[in-house]
Amino acid sequence: MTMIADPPTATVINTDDDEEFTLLVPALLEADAFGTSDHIGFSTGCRVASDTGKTTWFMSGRAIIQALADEVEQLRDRVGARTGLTRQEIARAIGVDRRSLSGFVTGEIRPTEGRMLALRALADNADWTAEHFGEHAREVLRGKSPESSPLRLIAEGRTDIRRELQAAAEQAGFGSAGRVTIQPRESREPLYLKAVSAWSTTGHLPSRLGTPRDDAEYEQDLSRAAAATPAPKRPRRRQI
Amino acid sequence: MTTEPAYLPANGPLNQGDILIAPVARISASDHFVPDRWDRLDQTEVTVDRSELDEEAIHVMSGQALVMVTSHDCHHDKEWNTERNRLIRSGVDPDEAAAIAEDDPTLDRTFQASPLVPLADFDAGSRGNYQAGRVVGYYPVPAPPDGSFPESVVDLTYRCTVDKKAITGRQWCLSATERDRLRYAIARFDSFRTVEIAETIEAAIGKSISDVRVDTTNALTVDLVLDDDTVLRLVQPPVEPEQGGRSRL
Repeated sequence: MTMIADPPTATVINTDDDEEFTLLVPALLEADAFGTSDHIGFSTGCRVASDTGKTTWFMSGRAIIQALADEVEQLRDRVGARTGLTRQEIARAIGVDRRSLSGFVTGEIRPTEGRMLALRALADNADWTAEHFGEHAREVLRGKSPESSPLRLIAEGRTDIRRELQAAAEQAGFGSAGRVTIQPRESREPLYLKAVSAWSTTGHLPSRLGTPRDDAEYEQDLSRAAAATPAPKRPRRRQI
Repeated sequence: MTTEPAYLPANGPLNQGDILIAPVARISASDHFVPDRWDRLDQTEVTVDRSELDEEAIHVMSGQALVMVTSHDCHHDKEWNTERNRLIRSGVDPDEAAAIAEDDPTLDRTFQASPLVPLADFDAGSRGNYQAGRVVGYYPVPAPPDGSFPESVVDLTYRCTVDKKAITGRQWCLSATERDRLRYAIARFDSFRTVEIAETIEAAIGKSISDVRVDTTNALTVDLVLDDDTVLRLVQPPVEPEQGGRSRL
């Protein structure tokens, strides 16, 4: 499941004293209650983290639509900024046209759960592609042809397409960009730094001179050890 | 009374006990976990993505470090000697054979080394044990005369194969006495581990030897069987390499 970076919230109102509670919405987003009605009830997946014993409440569907609209806008802009994909390409990648994507953002159209999953998958894969292929991310995501485009796989419902992205990058000649990543880490001061300034490196580096040695130095036949040191035939008595 | 210095200026070819500036690396898991004592060594996290080969990624921690050469002197010119001896057998003059072998850049490229870790990086409560050489796997070294590094231990638990061409600095080498101590520390860590030699020998006092056994598969040890059937195992000490070939096995 794709995590939402900034979970949308809705307001729960206690009708007795107008006290307000803030409720996280993601549990609702996973519920089966998606539809087009203006008001929806709580699903079994929803839990209110406050004492609701004396509280009667309802939730407006508009809050959910607005939360979805905000999320669509955030994901769309993130994909665009990181990869350079156009809004048209983003829309196609989740199986809608550009006008529908705009409708999702304005809240005029409520996206289905399948479209939201596709958009989140697109954002995840776009992040990964940008991280591994940098400025070539858009080319990698688009692929060499519409038929072989990794974006098409997301429109078909796939969520993890990294292997296909890797293959597309190989085809496009950007494969090596993702093979090695180097991340500096904050460590205590390395010990060698003082030595670098204190030592004169000239004249002390090892020379290539070897010390002549016989082959037997390196090829030792251990079975000869017994013959070289034969065990005594009878025990020797020696006080130690 | 004169006390032998712990260090001598390093010169000539690579020696066991040389202290160098060189890169080190170790394999880690995907979480790039760093034990506290290696914090100064692990300066970069490297991930080798092998997904296109359908293989797991390899994670490496690496950095530049002060290291001590742990491989034996004989190892450092093994291929040089093999090539030189081959050339001599084929009729080349010994001096010329040595020169030809020396010009071959592919010979004896690698050695083994372990990094230095400042004593101060260990927990204060256990520092004394490390300093006294009581902890198996760690060899204590004092600060050198030029103060280029503090009192430290050579961490034999971090062993690294390094190319000689990757060395960027060298100044000090252990003295002969200290080098013997290093060899015992290596042997103790890799094979023997026991620190009870004195107690074992004390237990033999007053007894007589009833038999001597030599293991034909292991030239390093001799077993002395005592009259109460206890066995005293003697182990040959690590030795300096002999020039011009071995005189014994």
